[in-house]
Amino acid sequence: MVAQGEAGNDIDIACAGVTKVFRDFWMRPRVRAVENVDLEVRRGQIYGLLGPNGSGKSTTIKMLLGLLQPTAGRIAVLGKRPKDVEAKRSIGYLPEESYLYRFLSGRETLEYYGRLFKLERQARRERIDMLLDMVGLEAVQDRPVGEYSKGMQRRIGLAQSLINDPQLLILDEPTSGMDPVGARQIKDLIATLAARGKTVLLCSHLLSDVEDLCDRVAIMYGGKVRAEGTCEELLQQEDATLLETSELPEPVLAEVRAVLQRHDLALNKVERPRRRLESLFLEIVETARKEGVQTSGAANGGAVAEFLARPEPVAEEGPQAAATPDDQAAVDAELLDSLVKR
Amino acid sequence: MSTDLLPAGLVATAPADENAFVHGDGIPSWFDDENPRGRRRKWLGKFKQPAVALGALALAGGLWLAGWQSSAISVAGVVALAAGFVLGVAALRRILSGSYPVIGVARAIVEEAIGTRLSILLVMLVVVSLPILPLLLDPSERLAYRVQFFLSWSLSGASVLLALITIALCCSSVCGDIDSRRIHMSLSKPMRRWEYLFGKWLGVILLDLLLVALVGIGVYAFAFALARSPAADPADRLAVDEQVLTARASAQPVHPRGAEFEQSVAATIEEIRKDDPTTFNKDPERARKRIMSQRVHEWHTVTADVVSSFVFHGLDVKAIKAPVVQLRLEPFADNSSISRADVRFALWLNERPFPVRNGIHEDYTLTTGMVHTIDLPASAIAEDGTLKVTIANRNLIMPGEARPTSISFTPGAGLEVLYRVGAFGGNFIRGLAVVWAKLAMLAATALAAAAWLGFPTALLASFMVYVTAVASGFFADAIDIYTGLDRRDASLVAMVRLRLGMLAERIQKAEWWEAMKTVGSYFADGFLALIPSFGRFDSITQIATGRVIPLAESLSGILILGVGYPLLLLVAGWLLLERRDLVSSAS
Repeated sequence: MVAQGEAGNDIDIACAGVTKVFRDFWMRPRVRAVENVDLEVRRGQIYGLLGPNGSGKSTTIKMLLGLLQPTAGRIAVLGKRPKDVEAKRSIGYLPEESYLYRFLSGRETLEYYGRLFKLERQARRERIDMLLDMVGLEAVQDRPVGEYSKGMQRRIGLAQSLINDPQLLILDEPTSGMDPVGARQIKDLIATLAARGKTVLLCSHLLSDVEDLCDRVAIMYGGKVRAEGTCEELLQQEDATLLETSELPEPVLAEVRAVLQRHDLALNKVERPRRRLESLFLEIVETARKEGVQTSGAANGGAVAEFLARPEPVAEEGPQAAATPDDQAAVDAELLDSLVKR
Repeated sequence: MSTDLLPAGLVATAPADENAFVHGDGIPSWFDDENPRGRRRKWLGKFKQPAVALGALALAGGLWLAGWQSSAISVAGVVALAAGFVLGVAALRRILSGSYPVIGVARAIVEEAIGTRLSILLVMLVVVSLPILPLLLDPSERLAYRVQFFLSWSLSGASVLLALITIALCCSSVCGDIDSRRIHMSLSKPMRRWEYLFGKWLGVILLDLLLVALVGIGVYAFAFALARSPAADPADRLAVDEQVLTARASAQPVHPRGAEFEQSVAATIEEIRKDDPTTFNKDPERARKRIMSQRVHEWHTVTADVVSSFVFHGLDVKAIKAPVVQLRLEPFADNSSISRADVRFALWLNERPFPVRNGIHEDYTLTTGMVHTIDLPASAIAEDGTLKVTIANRNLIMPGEARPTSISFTPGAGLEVLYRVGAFGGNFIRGLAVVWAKLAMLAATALAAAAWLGFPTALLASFMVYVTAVASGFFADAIDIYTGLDRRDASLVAMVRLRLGMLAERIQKAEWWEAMKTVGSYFADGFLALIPSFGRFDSITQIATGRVIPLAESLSGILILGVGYPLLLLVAGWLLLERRDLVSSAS
C-alpha cells in the first residue's frame, strides 16, 4: 500500500504544495501555519522534521493524519488520502503530549486503542502484555492513567502508538517529558524499527536526537521548509577540515604548524575531544544501576516487544501486510500520479 | 542504524542484543505486589462493596425486627438497586468487549460515565430517592392516590435526572475529547468519524437502558410494596387494582356524523357566509372546523329536562379482564354563575337505571370542573360491545335563573369509559421503552451539538431542545399569545397566510415592534416544528393513570424518537464533525 517513486523506491509520505490557513469565525484568514510544503519520505527512512515552536511541524503532522484539512495542496500517506482508514491501519502516532482518558487504567487504555485497530482479543492481550513490559508499566497497569506522572503517560502514549505494529510511525516530540534513560530507550526503539524497514517521521526540538537518528531532515520555519536533505549534506562544512588523532606533544604540534605554514594555511583551533553530556549521564546511570541503587518513578523498560522486534515477514496477511499487486491497485491512482510524478 | 552514531558510554554498557532496552530493577516500593501494605489495600478494596451491602442489609433486618417495615424495605431497596447497578455495569462491560471501533468508543464512554462524579452522584440520587419517596407520602391520603402519586413522581423525577445525565455526559465527553485533544489520538487510528459519534451514542443508550431498567425495577417493586399497605375502604382498594395498577383502554362516545349532521353544518356555514363574507373568506376551512367543534360541544351538553344518550362502541366484552369498568367524567355547568357548582343527574346503562339501591334509582350529585370516576358493572355492556349511557339532567332551578343549569362535558377526555385490557407489568415495560427512546433522542441531540459547539453552548442548546420537547404545547400557546395570533383549528397554509397578512398589516401601520414579534414567531414556530413533542408520547402519565400504552404507540414512539430522530441528528453531527478542523491555530 505504498506509492512507487521515480527511482522505484517506496514512498510512504508525499506532500505537494501543502498549505494550511486557519480562519476565524467570519472565515477571515487568521494564521498561515503551513505554506507550500513539499515532502517526500521513503519507506524505511527516519525522517526528521525540525523547527522552532510555531514553525508548522505539528500542523503538518495533523494534516498527514487527516485531523486537519489542507487549505491547498495534496497529501498521500501510504498511498492513500490522509482520512482513509486503510492508511491509518498502518500508522502509529505519538502526539506531542499524551492525551489520554484519565479514568482508564494503563491496560484499559491500550485495550481501547487495540479495539480501534480491531485486534482480536488474544492478540490484543499478548501485545498489551509485551508493550507494558517494554515501557516498564507492567506493575502499574491497573492504576488510572490520571494518576500517572508525565513520563509514565508518555510511556503509555508510546505503547499505544505501537500497538498495531505500524509501518509508518509518526512521533511528535517523543522524548518530551522523558528522563534521559527513557529518551535513550525511545531512540533505540526508533533505530530498531527502522532496521526492520519501518518508516519514522520524527518531529523534535532536540537536535541531537535528530542528528543521531535521522536519514533525512527538513527544517521548517514560518510554515515553510527552509532546508531539506541528509544530515551529511546539511551539516558538512565545506570550508573546514577536521583531523582527529591521539594527544599530540608540543614538538609534534609545532611540526604540524610548520607544515601548514608551508602551504599558506594556519592552525585555527587545537582542543581535546569532548564527550557528549548524554553519553556521560547514561554511563553514570548504568553504573549506579549495576551497583543496585534504587530509584522511584516508572521502572526501566524491558525488551522491545516481540512483535515489534521480529523480522519482517516476506508476505503477511492482514492490515499491516506488505504491499501486494492488489493493494497497489487499491492505491488512489489519481492522487499518486499527481504527487509522485510531479 | 549504525551503532557508530551511538554515544560511546552506551555502546560500552549496552546489552549484547541490539534490539533490547536497557534493563533495570528500579521499581518503587509502592508498585511492588509483594508490599504488605499494598496487599492489605487490595484485600480491602475487593471486599469493600460486599461488606457495605451486607452492613446495609443487616441494618434493614434490624429495622424489620424493630417493626419499621417500610424503612427496612427502603434500605434493602437502596442496596438492591446499588447492587443492580454494579452488576449491570459488569454486564455492559461484557457486552462491550468486542474488537470494533464503535464498541471501543462505546465502552470508553461507559467507563467515563462511571468515572465521572456528576453522573455517579445523579445515579445515586435516583437509587436513594426511589426507596425513600414512599416514606414521604402522607399515610392519611387514599391509597390509590398515593400509589398514583408515587408512580407519577418517581418516573417523572427519574426521567428528568436521566435526561440531565444523558445530556451532560454526551456534551462533556465529545467536547472534552476535542478540547483535551484526546480525539487526535482516537481519530489517528482506523476509525471513521461517524463510528466515533455512533460509538458514543451506543454507549450512552446502553447505559441509559441499564439505568431505565433499574429505575423500572425499583418503581415497580416499590409501587407494589406501597399498594400492599392498608386501603381506606374497599372502594379505595378497588381503585388501586382497577384504576392505577392496571392497563385500561378508553372508549369515547362518537357523535353522529350522518347526512343530517352535515346538512345542519352546511346550513350554518351558509348563514355565516352571508352575515360576514369578509371574515369567512379569509379561512373557510377554519370556519367550518369551528362550526363542527361547536356542534360537537353542543352534542356533549345535557340541557335542562332533556335526556341525552351517549353510545360507547368497541368495548370487547371478552377482552375486558375486570368485573367493573369506569365512567370517567368531568362535568361543567354551562349557564351557572357559580364556578364550582354541583350538578345533579340520573344514569341509565343500556336503558337500565343505575344505580338502584333498595329499589330506588339514585341520582348523582357531582362538583363541576373536577374529574370523577363512577364504577360501572362490566356486565352492563351489551354482547355487541356497546354501552349506551343515558344521562338525565336533574338540576334544580337556581335562585335568579329562569331554568335549570345544563351539564356539559369536554369532548374527548371529558366523558369516557375506561376498561381493563391488560396487566400493569406489560404496560409499564412499554412505557419505559418510550422513556428510553426519548433519552436516545436527547443523547443524539447532545452529541450532534457537541460535534460543532463548545461545551457550554452545546449543553445550553441541548437543554433548550429538551425543554422545548417537553413543553412544546405550552410554547406554541405562548407564541400565539405573544404575537396575538390564534392558531386553533387553522391549517398550515392558512397559518402562513395569516402570519404574512399580519406582518403586512403591522408594517403598513408602522408598528415595527409588533412586526418584529411576528418575524420572531416564524423562527420560534420553525424551531418548534423541528423538535418532536414529548407530550405526544406521555407514557409516564399513561402508566400513572392506569391507561394502556398500545404496542403500536410504544413502537411508533421508539421508531420516531429512538431511531428516526437520532439517525437524522447523528448524520447531521457526523457531517459537522467531518468538516471540522479538530485543531485550532492556537494549538
